Amino acid sequence: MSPDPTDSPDPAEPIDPRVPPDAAVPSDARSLAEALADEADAADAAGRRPVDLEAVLRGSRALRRRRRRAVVGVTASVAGLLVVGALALGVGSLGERTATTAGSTAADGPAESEAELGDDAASGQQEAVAPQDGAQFGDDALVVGPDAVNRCGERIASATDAADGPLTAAIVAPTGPVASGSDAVVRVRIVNEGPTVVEGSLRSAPSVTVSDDGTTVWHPAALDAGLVPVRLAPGGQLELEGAFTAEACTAADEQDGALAADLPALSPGAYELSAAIGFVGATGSSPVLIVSPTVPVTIG
Amino acid sequence: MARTWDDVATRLVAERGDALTRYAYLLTGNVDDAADLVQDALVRTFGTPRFHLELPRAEAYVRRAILNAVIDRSRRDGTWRRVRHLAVAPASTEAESTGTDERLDLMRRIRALAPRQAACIVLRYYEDLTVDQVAATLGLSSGAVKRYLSDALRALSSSIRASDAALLRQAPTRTEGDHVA
Repeated sequence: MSPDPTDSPDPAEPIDPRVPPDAAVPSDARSLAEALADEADAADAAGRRPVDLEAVLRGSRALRRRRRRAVVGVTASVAGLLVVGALALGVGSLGERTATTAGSTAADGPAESEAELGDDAASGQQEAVAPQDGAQFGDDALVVGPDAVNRCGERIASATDAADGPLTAAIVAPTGPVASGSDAVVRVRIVNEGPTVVEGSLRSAPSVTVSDDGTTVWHPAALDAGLVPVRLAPGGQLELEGAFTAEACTAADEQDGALAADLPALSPGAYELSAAIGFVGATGSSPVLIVSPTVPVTIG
Repeated sequence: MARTWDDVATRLVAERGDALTRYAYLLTGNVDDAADLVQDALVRTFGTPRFHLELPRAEAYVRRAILNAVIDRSRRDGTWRRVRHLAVAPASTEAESTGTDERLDLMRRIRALAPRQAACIVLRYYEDLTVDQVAATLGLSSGAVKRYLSDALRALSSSIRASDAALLRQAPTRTEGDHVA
């Protein structure tokens, strides 16, 4: 079998032994690299149009502003669907409280959002100077990602106190044991415990940590998850899915936000799960990290 | 100290703007298209709320956005792409006799590849990234990148062989001054 030319990072190595020598074919990777470099140089010589930074900043701010507005209607509907879907599947055990909340979310959310969208649409504002980020989303880039907490071998972060903010998180505990070394998915419920509507953006994938008596034994790698816009009425809730793996890590396995490959399977036994998820308020409030209380999980 | 999106965008444009434009140019072959693609990709990248939007990650997002735009254009121009090699190969073989022409011919063949294959070729052989780095940049698995590279190299090889065969077939006809349909 022919060796795979793409295995080698050496650009001087032949790119493909199946390619016959030919005057018009680059016989090695260096020729291909030179052809590409010559082409880029030729374009440089012909003159390139530089990036218009001001247009980029203005355009991206406007796009973020539009997304935030569009969010309102879409998210309320999605949130309602998520909760209703969870009820239909029989996930969780909140009983009447969930049913009441779901009804409220599904029925009230869209009405509120339509009013706001209508207001925005009516205003038809097209500002010449885009506002700064802070006024739009808060300093999103300053948010500590959920994967930055709960490092292997360290104590897990404390659960968010409902008194500190309107949003709380809770994991719907797995109903059965999770096989050692396997992947599993749990539902993470976000609830607005406050008296007013909460609007902003949530990270789309919560980070689920496995801990042993309060010490992290597995956490997800830095997630490349985007944000989902949310609008939750008082008592409203939504559910997201979070994944975890029943493997064991130590501080030595930490690799700049990721974990070493080929971690050993977690020894069978009783552990805990907790979830962390970032939230950015839409009103310029500080970004927060919402951490759920732990729930038991059996690895076996 | 953490940076805001605008700071990251400003740094990215200042430090990597030219590199991004060259990348787009190598995929499109048109300086104006390349500039437009980069501009749009930057707006899309920084117009989407994201966590941890630091410089290397932001650059990867922009490169993916550029590639996605090239893919979209490719789909729109799908009919032309499917038949383009039929038109390009004879013309290029007739015209080429210098190193510059060979380079142009090679670039035409690279741009005739599927966009993901072309992007892998550019990142691997122009940016000198490893397979794993290409995978991380484009959000693909390493296995997929290897497959794209292998397929691309095979396609480039086949393309050359096909044009050589066409050249041989056309030689007597061209001597007689006829055009090939």
